[in-house]
Amino acid sequence: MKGFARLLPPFTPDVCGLSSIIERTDGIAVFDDPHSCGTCHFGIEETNRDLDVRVFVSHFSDIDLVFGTGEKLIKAADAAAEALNPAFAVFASGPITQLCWTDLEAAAEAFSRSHGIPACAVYLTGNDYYDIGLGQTMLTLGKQLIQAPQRKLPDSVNIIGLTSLDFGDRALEDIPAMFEKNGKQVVCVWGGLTDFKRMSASAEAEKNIVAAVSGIPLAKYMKKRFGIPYETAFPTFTNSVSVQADRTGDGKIVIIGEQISSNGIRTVLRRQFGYSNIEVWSFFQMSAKDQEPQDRHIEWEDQLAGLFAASRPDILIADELINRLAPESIARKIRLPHVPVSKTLLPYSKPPLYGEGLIQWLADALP
Amino acid sequence: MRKEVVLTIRNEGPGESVYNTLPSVPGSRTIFVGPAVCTKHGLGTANELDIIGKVSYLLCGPNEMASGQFEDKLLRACGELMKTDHPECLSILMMCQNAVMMTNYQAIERRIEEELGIPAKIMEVCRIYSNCDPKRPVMNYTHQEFIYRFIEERRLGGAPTVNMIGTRFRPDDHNDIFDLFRQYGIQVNHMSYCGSLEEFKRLGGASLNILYRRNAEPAGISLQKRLGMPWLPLRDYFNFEKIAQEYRAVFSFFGKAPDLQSRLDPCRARKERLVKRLGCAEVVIDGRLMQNPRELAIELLKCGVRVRNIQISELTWDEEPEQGWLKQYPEVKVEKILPAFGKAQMKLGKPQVLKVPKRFIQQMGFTRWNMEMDDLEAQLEEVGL
Repeated sequence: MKGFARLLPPFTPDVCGLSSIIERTDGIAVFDDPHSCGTCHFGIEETNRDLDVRVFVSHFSDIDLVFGTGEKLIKAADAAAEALNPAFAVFASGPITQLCWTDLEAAAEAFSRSHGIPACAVYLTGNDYYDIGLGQTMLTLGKQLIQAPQRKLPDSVNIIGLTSLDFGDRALEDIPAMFEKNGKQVVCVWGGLTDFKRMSASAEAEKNIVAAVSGIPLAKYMKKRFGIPYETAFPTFTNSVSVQADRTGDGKIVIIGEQISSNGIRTVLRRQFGYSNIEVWSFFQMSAKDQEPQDRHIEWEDQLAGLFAASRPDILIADELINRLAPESIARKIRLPHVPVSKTLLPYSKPPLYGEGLIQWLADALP
Repeated sequence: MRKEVVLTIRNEGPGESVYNTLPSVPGSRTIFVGPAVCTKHGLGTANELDIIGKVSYLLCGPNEMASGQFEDKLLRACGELMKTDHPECLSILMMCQNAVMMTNYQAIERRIEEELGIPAKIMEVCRIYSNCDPKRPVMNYTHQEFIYRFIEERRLGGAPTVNMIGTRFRPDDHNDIFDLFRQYGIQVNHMSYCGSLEEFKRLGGASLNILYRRNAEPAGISLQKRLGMPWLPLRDYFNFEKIAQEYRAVFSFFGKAPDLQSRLDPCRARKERLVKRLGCAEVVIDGRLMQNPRELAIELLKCGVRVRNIQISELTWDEEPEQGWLKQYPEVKVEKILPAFGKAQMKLGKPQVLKVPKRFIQQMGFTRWNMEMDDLEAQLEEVGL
């Protein structure tokens, strides 16, 4: 049944996608929200405890729902702006605002006029998953902040969708460093550690690398608006490692996770480990262009059992909570921790999905 | 200069959260109805993997909520659970969206009970109420009050029996008051002893409800109103004289008068020793994970100990702060620590992450008082006092 999960706890919601981006910038976000819908993220999904709080809520009451929540929203934004001196502001909605429809754009415009900094509105429901929130936030910020380029930087890239939620905090520093080591200048990491200046200058890059499906809307916008080509491929930086063996007959592997990074693992499994029969399944958004015919989008928990029965994988690479739902008959279940799936319930320790670390992790985990 | 000493009570347990309380109803299954953000973030209060297999989730979008379609969807979800998990009863959690739309919970409960033939109770959690002026309770029932709603009739038995009501955690049998109950032939019941809803319902036949935590009081009051069950408190942790009074009240209900002097004298001597050790200290009470840190502060202040500061957090279970006591002690400051957990604030800085203990042994009465003293003495030992 759509929307009903008997055993699998719900995944990180869209509002946390927004929070996780803003906390790594020099902007602020204010949720039109009674309590903590957008900001619970800090205590639950956030993996970097050294970050300062940059996401706030308006704390509206039941009376405000009748007379309008806009005043409290602006008040909260004013207080945050006074304390943090942000470079930009984002006004966001949550599940309750969905029922009363606060005009966030009007609030953003009023705030922008009074503080002289860019401000924009992101409408979220609290009912979609984190990837939608990441995508909408990056797209809205891109439309608001990216300036027409005065120049083009040679051998330069933006990495779009490299987020702590999908890749862990270490990747936010390691992957841009790997690009730099390979002679590429990284203009902006969208979704990771960045600031207003870098985001504004994004159109100076020659190419966009989309590391996760959530980055595709912004990449498409930048292609249309600034003519910047994009490539959807998670940069694993494992080319230097040679093929170990031909394991064509070693059975089927299913990877369940974010599509682009799972595709990255699939490529490594084929190229470096010699496996051939590999499917990628995902509970999150999938890009048709990056999908192989056998790949599957999973809508709800009950669909998963049917897929396992039909596909009968030999090796499963997925988050521990999903592994627990898989049939006993699967010979090897490899744990691939994913913050949006299990961060609240399980100790979090993500293996690096790039470089020697990825090869080593797979070599240790595979039969 | 006085030495600063930070004191806390470390054996307070994980406290109550709806995520853990609702599934603790014997034989029940919990369904959390709401948007992904509420259902996911509620997990932050859960007792880790314990809840897997006990809680199911029904994600409903704003249109389903506004149109009332969620009700049919909920019924279908309950029906599916009946087929797969065969629960004896259902506890259902609904959130702010339902509160805003003034959902008729009683009608839904009735509909589920009629169609599925098992008891169903709904708890509402509405965060908006915490911003109302004056503040309203965020939940329409307290945790224990909700659990005991499943007891719907008084089935009086023969033997004298008490229900211990306070938390879902199994009380330790090696307990002072339990020894006295055994001595007088009084049977003790607790929800954790019940393996099924039917066994749990038998608690309705007890002679007396004993409330060993302050926040269980609404449960006692509700059972008294609905079923005529009398109740008595056993909740004063830091004041052994009050504990003795509570013992006397409980046992006089059964016509017994235990000799408590042998318990009181060592307590008195022990407290005097503690106060003496704290004589040259300035005390900060770390109440971030405590039950009622103000009560500890009051007990120490009454004995002349200098308490400078009480730290509280969103996780401080200070259900009923005693208004006005601070006026008597203006030198004591209450400091609220920004948590990384729960309520977001208009405060800046790095939130603290508090490690909530996941398991603990429930103690009460004099045994609990002595355990707390062990804990405080150990902390003084650690700082060389």
